Amino acid sequence: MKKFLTLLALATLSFNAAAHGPTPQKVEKTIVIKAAPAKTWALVKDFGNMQSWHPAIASSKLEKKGTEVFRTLTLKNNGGEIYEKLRTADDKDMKLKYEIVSGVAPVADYNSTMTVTAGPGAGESTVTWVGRFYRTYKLNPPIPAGQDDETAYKFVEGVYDSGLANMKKVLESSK
Amino acid sequence: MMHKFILVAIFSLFFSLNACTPIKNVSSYAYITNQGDNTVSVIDIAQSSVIKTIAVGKAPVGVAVSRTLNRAFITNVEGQSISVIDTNTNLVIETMTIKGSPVGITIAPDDKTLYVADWYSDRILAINTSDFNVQGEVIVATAPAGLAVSTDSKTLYVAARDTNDIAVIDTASLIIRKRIQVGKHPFGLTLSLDSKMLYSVNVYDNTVSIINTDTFKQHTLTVGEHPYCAALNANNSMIYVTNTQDDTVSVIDLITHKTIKTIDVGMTPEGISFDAANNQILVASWGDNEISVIDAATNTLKTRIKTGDKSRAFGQFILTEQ
Repeated sequence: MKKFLTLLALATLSFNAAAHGPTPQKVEKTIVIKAAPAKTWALVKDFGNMQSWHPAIASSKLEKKGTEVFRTLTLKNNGGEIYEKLRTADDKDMKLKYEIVSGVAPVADYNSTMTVTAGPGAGESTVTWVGRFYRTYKLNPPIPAGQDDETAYKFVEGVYDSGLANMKKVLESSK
Repeated sequence: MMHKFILVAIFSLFFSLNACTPIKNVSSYAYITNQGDNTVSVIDIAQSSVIKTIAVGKAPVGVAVSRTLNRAFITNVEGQSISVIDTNTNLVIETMTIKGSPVGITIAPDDKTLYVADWYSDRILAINTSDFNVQGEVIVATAPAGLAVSTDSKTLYVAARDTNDIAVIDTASLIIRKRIQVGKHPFGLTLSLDSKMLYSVNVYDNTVSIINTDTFKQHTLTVGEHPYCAALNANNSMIYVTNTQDDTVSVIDLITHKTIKTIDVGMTPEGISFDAANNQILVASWGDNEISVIDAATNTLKTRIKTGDKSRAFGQFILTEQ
């Protein structure tokens, strides 16, 4: 968690969604939660309420522009903001898709999918969080520290690990 | 007892041969780049199995194969190199250093020249396939991506991602003859067998531009989310497009221009090639580390073959042996 916040503090680069590099990165994390799938999905798909389960987020603001839905996440400890767009929230497949539009995250062209499945045990649900993204540096090597694949990867991994662990806590302690 | 055994043996041999023999009695192999573990998986397609895993440079993306040369050329974008594989032995016989970020790669049909798109250096390199010397280069635009060469080897088409156009290059002089405006962020390019039709897959507006290469008349097809690459079937009547963020392949009838099917494949499908020997379409899944195999007769997912980490296979990756 501390590491994640340090990374956030380091992430002061401007974000450009219009172009990215040739090597996409992937983070995929899974957690089993002792809660009914419907209850877990209700929390996951609540796009404007991420602060209720993610420990790094202080507040969020939901915005509707025509048919499109956006949120602004304000990070704790003056970590800055991340502006995201909801792509789809599919109740049938319990699948949420969103992307980062702009903000302090040290990643480029980030898109993500959160999926809830039933099981493995009765009354349990499994949440899978997958992200695809690029480093922010967009020129030939040498790649400066802080704009490389490792920085982008560790940032997303930190977000997923701390987020899923706390989501489990939140869901398992609420009845 | 012995007789019975021999009979059974003959019968099982007969049946197993029948089951495994491809339609045209030829073998085909897929060379799949695995970005995450710096390898190439070699697949015996009729057997649906990986027969060899070859270590190459860092973050391999592009692939081009030649049956005449018995070579597979692999671009290693982070390794800043091209690995040359002898497809008879499946060994790397040479590694060319490219001071840049090689991504797209293709071989001219006459097998004399290899073209490489250097992503961050905005250029295309022309490399002699006999001595691996760079014989020329041409600056195209920011982030050149997919490449295709006409059947007569005289024209090279380059998808110029950030300028939203296709550069038409005379291969003899390496001069850009024309630029064709297409959809937003063209990435993969495919030519029809007769080179009369060019297909550009446009990532940011979820379209495929169909371009007549004589008249430059265009038609636009809508596909799924963030499409990357396309392949044509045997008689070029259908196009198959990978939709990377829908985890699907669109199948489009090129006569009616209608999407006739959307097939679920492995997560984040990228590279796609037509396997003539077995009449099927192979799709590299970056997200699920596999090849999804589509039966081109029924347009259904037939099988999945596990490969390496983050398979991409950007280019024509199937080698067919007579």
